[in-house]
Amino acid sequence: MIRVESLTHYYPRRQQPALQEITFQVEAGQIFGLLGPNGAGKTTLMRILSTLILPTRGTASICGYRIGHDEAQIRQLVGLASGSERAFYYRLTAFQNLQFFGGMRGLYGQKLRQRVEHVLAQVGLYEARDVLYMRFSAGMKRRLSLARALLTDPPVYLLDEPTSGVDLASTQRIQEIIRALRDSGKTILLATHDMEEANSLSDYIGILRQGRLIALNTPFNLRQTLKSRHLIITFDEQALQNKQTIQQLLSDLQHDPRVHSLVLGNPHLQLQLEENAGDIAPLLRRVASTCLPVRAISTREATLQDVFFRLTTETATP
Amino acid sequence: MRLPTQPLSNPQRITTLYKAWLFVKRGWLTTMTYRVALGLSLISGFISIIQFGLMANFLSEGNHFALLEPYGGNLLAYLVIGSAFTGFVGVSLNSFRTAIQSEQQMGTLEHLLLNATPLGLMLLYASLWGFLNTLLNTVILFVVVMVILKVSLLINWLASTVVLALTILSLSGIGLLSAGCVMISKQGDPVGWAFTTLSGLLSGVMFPVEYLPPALQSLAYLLPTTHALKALRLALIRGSGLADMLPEITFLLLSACLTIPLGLWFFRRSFDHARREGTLAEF
Repeated sequence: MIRVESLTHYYPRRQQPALQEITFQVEAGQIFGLLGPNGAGKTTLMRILSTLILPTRGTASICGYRIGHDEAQIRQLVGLASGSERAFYYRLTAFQNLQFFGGMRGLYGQKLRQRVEHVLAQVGLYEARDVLYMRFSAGMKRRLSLARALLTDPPVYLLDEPTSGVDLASTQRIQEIIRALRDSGKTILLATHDMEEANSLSDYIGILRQGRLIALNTPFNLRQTLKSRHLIITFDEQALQNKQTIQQLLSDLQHDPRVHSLVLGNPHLQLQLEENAGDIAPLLRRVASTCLPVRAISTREATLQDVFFRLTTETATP
Repeated sequence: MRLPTQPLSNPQRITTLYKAWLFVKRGWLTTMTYRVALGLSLISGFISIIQFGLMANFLSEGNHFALLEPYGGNLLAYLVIGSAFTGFVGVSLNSFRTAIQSEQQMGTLEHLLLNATPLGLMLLYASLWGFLNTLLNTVILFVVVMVILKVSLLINWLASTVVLALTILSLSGIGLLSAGCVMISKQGDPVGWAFTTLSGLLSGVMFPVEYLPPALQSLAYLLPTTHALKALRLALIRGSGLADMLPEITFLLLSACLTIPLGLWFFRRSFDHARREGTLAEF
């Protein structure tokens, strides 16, 4: 459905490529989560796939139609929900906006009206159909953006941070729609900063950093690549007031070869262990030796967020 | 490769007119949300007509304008047509550029382009409301001039329509060049600027071209607006037919044949340039 091969893009007057030798594919009925820090190239990739940017090198195709060659066909097959709020006519209502864009995409008459009403209901905006776009909240704008992508029921969806800045209820609704699209056989490329969203929705995840695809796998396999566990020690809240002891403990743990990194919260101390940490009893004994009151000790496996941080920070070039 | 589920839309079946109508409707709906601005612009139009009327009466009293004889000799009619024509020149030259800039500022340009409609048609649709709006204002202006100021016009409808259509066509080519410039420079538009300034000064908007020094007259006759304005005045004031304005019509046709392909080619190049640079939506 979506095939990308050695895709490279340079913006003029910039030395670093925006995208470099990107290769992946997404089949029908799959969600491909695209993660990456700001400026990693996610939006550039989305815009190339929606024919808004011409790539410098490499090939990309949607349903067999090639970017740069068959653009009219591709535009009919792709639904784009962009992350920008400025993508509708402010002085038209939600209904008028969708009617306009639906008409531009080839719908008309009764079919257009029915479809607009259907997608408005689908994203939970039917009641707000006659409200001017400029009166919409951030969450409503995101949902309307998704509604526009849904209008022509295309087989491929490019969703650029569809839940960014959206409240919990709207987020859940949008995620339900994305799942339903996947279940009905649609191909979805989902760019997001929300690790939990990427983890729960994606069949495959690609992580972009500085224009390069530095990881591509299923969420499970990605988590497995980081074999290290996390040890979480929850202190009694009073314990953290004993600053000198805490400082000494942190210093000791930082130099312990079993510990990769640590974060002190309130009242948690979270240790990311090295992959070959082995027996952690000495660590626990060191904590116990402080005589600080501990309420709980637990361990957890690496999350997608841990993998993301590890990949996007440790291997970053200066 | 087998195609997946076809999308709901069927571009073959949708009529071009329906898409054009959507743009006109959008323009109308948006304009209607700015009621105060609409009212003020209508009042401004009436005030400017009264100004023209008073000025023309003042200048005409006891005076005879020999250079206006070929155009019926009525100063008010001469000036009003010049003024109305300037509106059409403006919209023909600037509508593509302003349509693009407006969509860029709204953030809707990229979403507008995400359909199978050819780029040239999209530009035409996007500028339709501007043309219709100007046409509506012009009609109101002429009705006021004829009814209230009692200026008699012997309108040849066929000739007027043909000249106006040819004017819009020939200037649209230059408008496309102007839109192409904006695609690259985002704000600066030397083509539109030069043409608007030159046509306002040299085309006979407020005084006959014959009043200009000979060197400037030669330059004036290179501008399609000069020929368009002359033909339009003949058709509206004297009721001249197409046969009486053959040289002007031929010039306008040749201009359209030259500038439209050139404008389309340049705009396409600029558009692809913006896509390579990723600056389509920037302004």
